[in-house]
Formats: sequence, C-alpha cells, structure tokens
Amino acid sequence: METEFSLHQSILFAEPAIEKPLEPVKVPLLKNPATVPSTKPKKVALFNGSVISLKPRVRPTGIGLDEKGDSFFSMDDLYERVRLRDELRQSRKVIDEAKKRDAARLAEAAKETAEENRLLWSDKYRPSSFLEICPAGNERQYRLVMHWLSKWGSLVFGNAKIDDENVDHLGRPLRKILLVHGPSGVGKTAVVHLLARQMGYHVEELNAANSMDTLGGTDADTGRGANIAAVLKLRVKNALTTNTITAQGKPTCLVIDEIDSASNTAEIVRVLADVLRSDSDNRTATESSSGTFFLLATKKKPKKKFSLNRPIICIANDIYSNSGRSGSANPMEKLRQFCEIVPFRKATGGESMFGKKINASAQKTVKAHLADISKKEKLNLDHREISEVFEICEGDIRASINYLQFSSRKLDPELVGRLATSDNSSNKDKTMSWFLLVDRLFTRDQKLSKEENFESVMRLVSSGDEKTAASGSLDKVIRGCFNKYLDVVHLQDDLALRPAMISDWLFYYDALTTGARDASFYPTLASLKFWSLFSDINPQKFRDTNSLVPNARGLEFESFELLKKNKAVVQRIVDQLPIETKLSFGGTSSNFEFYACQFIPILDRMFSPEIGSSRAMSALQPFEQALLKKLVLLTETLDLQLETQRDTELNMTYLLFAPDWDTIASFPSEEKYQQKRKLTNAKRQWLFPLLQQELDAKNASAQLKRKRTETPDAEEKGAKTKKQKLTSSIEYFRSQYGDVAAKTEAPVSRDDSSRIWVKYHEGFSNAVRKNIGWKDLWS
Amino acid sequence: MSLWVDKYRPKKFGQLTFHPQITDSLKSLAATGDFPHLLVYGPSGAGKKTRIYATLNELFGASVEKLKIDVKTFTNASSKKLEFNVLSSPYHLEITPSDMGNNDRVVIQDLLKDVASTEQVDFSNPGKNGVKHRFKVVIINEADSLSRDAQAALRRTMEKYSANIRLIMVCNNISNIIAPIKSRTLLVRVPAPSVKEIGDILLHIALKESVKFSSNDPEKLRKYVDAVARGSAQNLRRSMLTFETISMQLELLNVDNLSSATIVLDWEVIIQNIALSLRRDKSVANLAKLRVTFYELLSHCIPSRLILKTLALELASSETSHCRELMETAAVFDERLSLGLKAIFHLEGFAAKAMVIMS
Repeated sequence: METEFSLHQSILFAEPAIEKPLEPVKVPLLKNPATVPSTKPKKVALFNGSVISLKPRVRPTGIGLDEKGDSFFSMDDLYERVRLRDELRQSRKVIDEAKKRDAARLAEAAKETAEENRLLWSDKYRPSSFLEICPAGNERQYRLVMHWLSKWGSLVFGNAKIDDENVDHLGRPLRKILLVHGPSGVGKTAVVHLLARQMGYHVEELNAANSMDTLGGTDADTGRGANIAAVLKLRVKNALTTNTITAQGKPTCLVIDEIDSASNTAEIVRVLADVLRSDSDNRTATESSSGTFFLLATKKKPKKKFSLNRPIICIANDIYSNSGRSGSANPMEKLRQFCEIVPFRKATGGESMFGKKINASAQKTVKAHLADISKKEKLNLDHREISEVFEICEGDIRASINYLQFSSRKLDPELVGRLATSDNSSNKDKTMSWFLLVDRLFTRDQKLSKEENFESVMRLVSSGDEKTAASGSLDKVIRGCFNKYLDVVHLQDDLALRPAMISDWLFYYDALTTGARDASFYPTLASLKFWSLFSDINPQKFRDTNSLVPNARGLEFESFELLKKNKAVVQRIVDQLPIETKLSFGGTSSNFEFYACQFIPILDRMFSPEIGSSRAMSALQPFEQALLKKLVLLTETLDLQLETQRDTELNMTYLLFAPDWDTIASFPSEEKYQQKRKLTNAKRQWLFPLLQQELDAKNASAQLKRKRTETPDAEEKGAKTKKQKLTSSIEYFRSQYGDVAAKTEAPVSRDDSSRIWVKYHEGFSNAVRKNIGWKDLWS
Repeated sequence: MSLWVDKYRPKKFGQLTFHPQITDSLKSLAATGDFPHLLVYGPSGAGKKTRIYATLNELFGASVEKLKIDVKTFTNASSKKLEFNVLSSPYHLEITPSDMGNNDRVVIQDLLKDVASTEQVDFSNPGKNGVKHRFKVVIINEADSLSRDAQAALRRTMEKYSANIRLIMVCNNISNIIAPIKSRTLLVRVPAPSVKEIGDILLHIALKESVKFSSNDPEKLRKYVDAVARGSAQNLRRSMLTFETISMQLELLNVDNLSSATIVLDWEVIIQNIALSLRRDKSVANLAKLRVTFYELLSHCIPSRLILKTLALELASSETSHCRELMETAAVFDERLSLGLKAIFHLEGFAAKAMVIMS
C-alpha cells in the first residue's frame, strides 16, 4: 500500500522537486541569527533528546563582505522565497486533496477486488475464447463439436455448404443432435457454450434445474404429466424457432445440460424424438414436393411446416446411465440412437476400451492451465504442488480450480508441504475424525502398558459410540481398518494367520449391524480387535508405503457402481426375452445367478464365432450360413441392437450389442484381456455387417409378406362384393404386383442390389387409404 | 425362439424322459384334479419348472402356456409405490417375491389375498371327472430367498385360503424355509439328472438338429456327450446351452477331443486362478491381490456364495489332505455370507483361513 501510494503520487505531480531546494535556503535563514552573536560553543538539545554542541564557525576575518551579505536581505531572494512558500502551500493542498481522492479510490478498488474475489475462480477462469480452453487431451473432441456446429452454418447463416457425405440436402449434419458426454469437470458445458457462442449462436440452456419449470400461469396440478410434456415441448420448439430479444438477433442454439440427471429425462428425450420425427416427416414432404418422389398424403391438410434448423446439443455425464425404473426402457438408450456422440474424458487416465492408460500430454496441459491460474492469483505454487492438487481432484479441472481457490487462503508453505507429504492416496476426507480414529487404532503407545493402552483405545472408540454408530461412521472406521490391515500385516510378518482371525470378528460385526438389531455398542468391539491384533508401535512405516491394494478406498464404491450397471444390463436382457424362453430359463425371476453366470457368457460365446471365410453372405460356406441365420434369429428374439462406439483417442471403432454385456462377460484383470478384446472386436467387425444385412433383408421380406397377405385379402373382398371391381384397373395392377412380389421374393432375400423398394405409408388406416396403381408408382 | 433349451422343452408328461417316479407321482396327483401345496426343490437345471408346467398342463390343458406379463403395483408401509411383474395365465400366476427385496412380505400378503378373495369360476373347461377347478395356482419362484417375515405371512395364508389357492413353491434348497411351511406342503425333490440321462437328451437333439460328428461310433459319441454333461455340472439347461454353442462354433464336432466338449466360462477360469494362487503364495500380499479379484467377480453379478462354493470345491479337489477342514471352513463362511451383507469381508476371510489351513 505504502509503496504503491508514493509511486502514485510521483506520477500524478510533475514537480515533487520543489520541496528539496527549499531546505538549504531555510536552514541558514533560521540558524544565522542565533549563531552570529555568540562565539562560544553552545549545547543544544534536539527534539529527539540528543545533545549536540554547536561551534561557531571560525571564518577568515579578511572577508567581511560575505558576512555582511548575509545580514542584508536581498529583496529578490526574499520574493523568491515567498513565492516558493506559496507554491509549496499550494502543492500541499493539491497533494492533500489528491490523497483524499486516492483514499476514496482505493477504498473503491478494494471493494471491487472483493467483488471479484467473491466470484468462484472456476467461473472467473472459465474460458472466454477458443484459445483459452485447456486442451486436457480432448482437442479432438473440441474439433468434433466445432465441426458438427459448423455444418449447421450453411443452413443457419447461409454459409457455403460443406461438401461432406455426412450432411443432408439442407446441409445439416445427418444426426441432428449432438450428445456430449464425459465425467464431471472436464469442461463439457464450458466448451459447448463457448463454441456455440463463437460460431455465432445465442445459447439457450435447458438444464436439470429449469427443465421442470412450467411456463408462468399454467396450472401444473391438473393433468400434470401431459401438461409438463406439452410445456416442455413448447419450450423446446420455442427455443428452436424464435429469436429472443436478448440474443441480439443471433440464432439460438439449444443446449440441454445434464440431460441424464434431469428428473424428467424420459420426457425430454420424448420431446426431442418428437421434434426429430416431425422434422423428418417434413423432409420427406419437401423432397416429394420437389417432384422426384410420389406424394402420398396429398389429401391431408398441409400442416404448418416445421423444420429443425437450429442445432441441439445435449450434455450428459453418463449416457449409459439407467436411472429410470428398471422396468421401463432407458431413455438414454433411445437418445443415443439419434445422436452424434462425442465422448469427453478426464485427463488423468482416459479410460479407453483398452483399460486405463495415462495420458501424459493431457495432464501436462491441465497442469499448465492450473499453473497459469496460480500465477495470476499469485499463489506461487510450484509444479509439485500443482500436480498434487491435480491428483487430489482426480483430473477434474473444475474441482482443481475450486480447490486452488479455497485452499489459497491458507496456503502457507508449511501447509502445502504437509499436503504433499501426507498419505499418497490423498483423500479429501483425511481430516475427518473417523480417519484419525483408524490411524489411532493401528498405533500402540510405547510408554503405556498393554492394559493401559487398551483402556485408552476403548475409551476413544466407545466415547463417540452413540454418535458414531448412529451416523454410520463406525462403518467407515471398520471399512478403513479393513482397507488398511493388509498393509500393516504385510510389513509385520506377512502371514495369513491374523487376517484369518480378524475375519471372525468382521463377521461378528457384519452380523450385528445387519438387520435392525439393537446392538449399537457391541459392533465397536470389532474395531478394538483390530487394535489388539494389528496395532504397531511405529505406525509411520506403513503410512508412507504404497498400499498393497491399489485404490483400496475407491474399490468398494467402484465395484458397487459396476454391479449396479451390470444388474441393469442383466435386467434389460431379461426383460427382452420372450416369455416362453423365460419359462425355460426358470421363470420370470430376475435370476441373476443363472443369467449373469451362464446365459450371458454363453451368449457371448455364441456371438463370437470364428471369422468366416468370406464377407459376403452368399459366398459363405453352408455351415456358416446356417450359423448366421441362427444368430440373426437370436438377435431378433432377444431384441439386440448393433451399435458402434468410437474411441476418438485411438481412432478405433468398437462394435457392441445394445444391452452391452461386455462388462459382464469379460474380466479386465485377466492376463489376456487386451488380446481378447481385440479378437472379439475383429470377430464382430466381420459378424456385424452380415448380421445387419440379414436383419434388413428379414425386415424387408416381412414387409413384403405383409403386403402380400394384404393383397389377397383385398382380392377376396373384391370378389365377394362385385366381380366388376376386380376388373378395375387398380385392383388388377395390385394383383399383378402381388404376383411380382411373390415371384421375386425368393431370390430377393439373397441378393441386395437388384431389390426394388416401395415405401408404404406406415400409419395405414382406412381413413387415409388410397389405392395406388402402377401408374402412380412409375409415372 | 431358436434356442434348443426352448425348442426341446417338454410340455407334457409324456415328453419327460428322466426321473420316471417323480413324473408318475405328479401324474397321478394331477389325475385327481386337485393337489396339495407343493414345495419343489432341487438343483438348477434339473427340470423342476418343466415338471410343474407339465402338471399344470395336465390339469388345465394347453391354455396354461398362454402367458402374459402383468405389472402390479403395491404400496409398502412407507407408502412408496412398488412395481412388480407377474407372469400369468388364466389358471395360474407366477411370482418372484425376492425381486422385491425387503418388501416381499407386502407382495405376498396383498397378492395372495387378492387372488384368494376371488373365486375361480371355470365353465368353459369342466375338467376331468367333472371336477371344476375352483382354485388358482400360484407359483412362487426362489422361495428360499423369501424373508422370514414373508414366510410367516405365507404360513397363515396357506391354510386360510386353501379353498381358492394352491401354492407351488420352487427353490434350490429348503434349508432356508421355515418348518411350518415345510409341514404344510408336499415336498417334491427333483434331483439333477445323471450324466447318462443328459447324454441321452443331447444325443436326441443332435439327431434332430443333424449335428455332425467326426465319427459316428456310438461309444465315442456317448463319451463326448457325457463330457458335455459333466462339464456343465449335470445342469441340463447349461449342458444344452453349451452343446448348442459348441455346435455353432464348430462345423464338425471332434469326438476324440473331449476337452472341446466343455466351455469353461471366464469367471470360472478366474476362480480357478484364485485357487491356484492361494495354494502357491500364502502371503498377505497375495491376499491383497485377491481382494481386487473378488471385487471384480462380485461386480460382475456373480453371487458371493457361488464364488465361495466354486472356490472351495476347486481348492478341495487339489488339496485332498486338507479337504475336510476346507469344506468345514467353507460351510462356516457360506453361512456368514448368507447372514451378513458385506460379502468382501467373508470372501477374504475364507481366503485367509484357507491359507492358514493349507500352510
């Protein structure tokens, strides 16, 4: 503050030198009258208390003029002095004023900085231009998003069409919705918002918080479900078709954030599907009106045209989440089908399909980003500390920035040092009491006898008992001990004897806490047993070593999450089974044991046959053909979908089945896991196109058949009512057509290229029925 | 459905091949037009369900197979809505109350009361001997995982509504079923089919599906299908699935290569590896490694008790000298697994104990 102020002054005032020349003038003026008369040395006490003796100057007497000149006052000099003094006074005044003003300004500035401080850094350092985005290993994904958005440019801004096979006739990307997914805090929302803004859109956001809002005035109580869906639809449509005032004439880009965690995901997805459907209806209409295709719905009233001409971007954390009820179809599953999917990933270790791997360059960029912030905020963190923060937050950029901000207040070197040296599993909860208790349970005080020691531990454990047991922190303590005791034993004698003993006590604990038994005190005994079995005089030695079980603390949670996911997959597969099959598999029960342990692994085997001799169905050997036919039948009955998933990192495409059972059938810990994965993928590369082809052919022939059965019906009716009607041209052509279909049907199913397709109006009913003849088709 | 399991599932008593005594007694039971509550138990893949449906078929005719799935909703004590799938035909219902976890008591009570309070009126099918079936059959799957509360709730219901309901409970093991229920039911044990019986069925299927073998020597064929049956632990369902998979993978089944007759699933391989490493390295470091593997198995929906059982059998087969202790310990831990909730504690505990026993 001080230095700043003086600096400030010197810049403000051009003549600070005024004061200085005054001094030498002043001194003789004051001193002279006193010193001249006396010739003796004189003692003078100064204000600061020190005493000095003043000697009269001995001057050469020969020069009297000088002395005389001093006694005379030169008027010019005097005037000069008066002028200077006035000037000084003036400048003082100015300075004082400036000081006041400055103080006020400073106060203001202080207020301002306080305001700025109140901003979360994660908001403050939210990137505002493309160059500011921290790459974090997601550059490719950024480019994908940008590329997708730029495709809309031709429609929205009238840019030149991008020549690409992935755009439709209006220049829009084929998949009209972009689905960005990835773990939290990697910058999905930031990037999407930023890119949309940079491409010149106004971002309209719909998120978990506001998607449930109804428009003002509508009463939500009556007919709630339908109402909300309608309102939601209105909102989406409004966002897509109208411009808001605040957008300043920019086109809107709808961003649906947190689509997977919104409470009405299913509704949002339904609305999106509706929007898309109405759009593609529209597209066929416009296409047909251009004259190349026949028009079916001419009699229909021309509906108000709706075409989707604004981009929609959805953001989700987990696109495979199954938060909905287990019975109902997963909305995300539906959403995935019509979305372009861009996966974002964490910088720590992008979990690719090939297990976890560390992405060094991505980590570097994130750390550089954090270092930049720390420089700007004058935190003076060194590289090691930054990587520590990064580790703690597990690659979550937002969390890292938050962590920086809130720890910056107390980041003194000592604390940072402790942060860095504390246990390497670096848990945020380490200061919590249960954690300390776990530590305490593994230490034995050297000075006390065994009994005293036990007493003290018992007091410690049981003192917090009522509270801890109730809030479930006893469970945390036991879990903590369980996670730790192997490391301890490993360093003591590495024998399985004591782990075997503690297992009895763990059962005791488990049995007492399971079920609503009123035994709040006894379970704590298990933790005491931990102490008596494993406590060590020198706990430091195992605190610093690496844990034997990698990620011991996360393991429980991770496996639980995976289990949940796998259960959902099993449930889904079970739900899709036809009832008869369920019966032969042992009834309606979601008998996980059978499905997960036998059916799915065997199904996996069935669907990974050896790669066949050829890539074309017709060139296959008869055995392989039979096999494929069987698989096709299976895919149909199990209602499996063939999906592709792209790994942008390795630029590889993975093929998988829609209820993705790979997580159940395969085990990443197996030695040959990677090879197996590759092999499976290669097999599927061969199998999937064939399957798809066969499925399509099947659908096609089914449609043909349906039509064929329709035709004889019509014929019969015609014959019954009037013979004349049969002779009417349309019926005649119809019957002809039926014959043609019957004739061509058999060879058609084999050969894809020469098939003729006639799209029939799907929602067929008598109300809009219109007879079609050859003329209509081929004119 | 194209799976052989489905295709060759017998629908009538006449098509059942093995366990003739059970089939006969069920047949005579059905012939009377009425039967007591049944408790059918036995290992999976032994044909319990098939026999039950054959009985129903005998009683009510083929329309038993006209199945549909209803979703019923219940509200539990804290007025939370529960959805529950019920498989039903005009004559019976099939439920799996263990799907509902702790709420199974509510389901049992509400559903059974609901069914029992409406009397079955059957004019269209007067049945044999002119007896009208005034009752509806309720099949309860996985009865062994019913909670104690639910079983207690069943107990009274079974007597009170016996005029309108017949219960058929299906389970693998009756040790979890409380004694009062056992005494109110007719116990029917369906043992696993013998290797030969499974082999017969597989050969029959092979004939029908024209599966090609490398040699048609009946001796060798027999050996091959026996290997399939043995590899699937005499589980008929699994044998059929395995056999179908094998015949899909290979054009020509090599009867001389018996190891190709079994499919060892990935999780079984992993448990075998666990057993191997347990015997080789009896240190805590290994225990820590195994913990990760156990977690992985658990997260792949493999039930903890199945893991324990497979592991114990694997260990016992190779460590014959400690067989007795190992099985005893395994039994203790099996109980712990079924009583407790934290499977990982007990699996690791068993691994530690096994290390101690074997060292």
